[in-house]
Amino acid sequence: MRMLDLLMQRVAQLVESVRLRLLALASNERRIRALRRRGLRIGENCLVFTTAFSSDPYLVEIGDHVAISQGVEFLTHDGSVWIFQDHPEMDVFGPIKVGSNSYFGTNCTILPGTRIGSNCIIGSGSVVRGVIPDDSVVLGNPAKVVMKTSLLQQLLVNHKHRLDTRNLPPREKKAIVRRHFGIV
Amino acid sequence: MDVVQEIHDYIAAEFTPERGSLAPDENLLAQGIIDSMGILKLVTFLEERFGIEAIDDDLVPENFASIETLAAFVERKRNG
Repeated sequence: MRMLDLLMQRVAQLVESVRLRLLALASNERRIRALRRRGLRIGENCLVFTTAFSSDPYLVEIGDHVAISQGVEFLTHDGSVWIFQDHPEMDVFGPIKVGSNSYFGTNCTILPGTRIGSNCIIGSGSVVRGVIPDDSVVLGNPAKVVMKTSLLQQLLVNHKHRLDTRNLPPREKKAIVRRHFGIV
Repeated sequence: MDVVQEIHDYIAAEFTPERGSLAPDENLLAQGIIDSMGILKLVTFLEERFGIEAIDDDLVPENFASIETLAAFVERKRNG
């Protein structure tokens, strides 16, 4: 019976793993719907390019208008309990909360118990833990606040390679970008 | 050398080597002279050279707008 339980558990894990891989290919709306079914609490107008919300997505809460790039991982429990063999039943959890209007660059890792405010930018590859105040740009491992969002806004608005192409059709955008960089 | 001159020399050498000098009130952000990585380098320079510590709330456009505002920021931090 014990073997059968373990086998069934393993099959369920494999099925979930395949589902998550397929979900990565789905549309943004479909992916968010599926993640909500798994318990993720997420607001409106979000872009989510990851499915890595740990085995406890119900411990993650995300506000409105948040973009999460590929490879971002939300960790809601501490897997290191594995080695403490005298406490074989032990788990340690840490809910994650993210405010509204924030952006996560590619391949960030958000550790258990992290709270990120609104209007925040998490730089690519950052490993974030603790409390990140509203209006912060964070970067690094361990991630630290490197500037307020208002300062980055000024830098980007005035950036020499700023082009207003985001909502253009791909062909039109490509032509403008190629021209800007002198690529014929 | 005063603070304005030291900050000027650092920014001119680091961010506008082809241009040479900069006006103390020239808007560094509006002119696109410094980018986001530049801010990190500039903060490190200010902290190490002037013995100050920039906290999160210091890292705002008002302090980084020009050489003059940067120098004023350094003086405020130095004077506690």
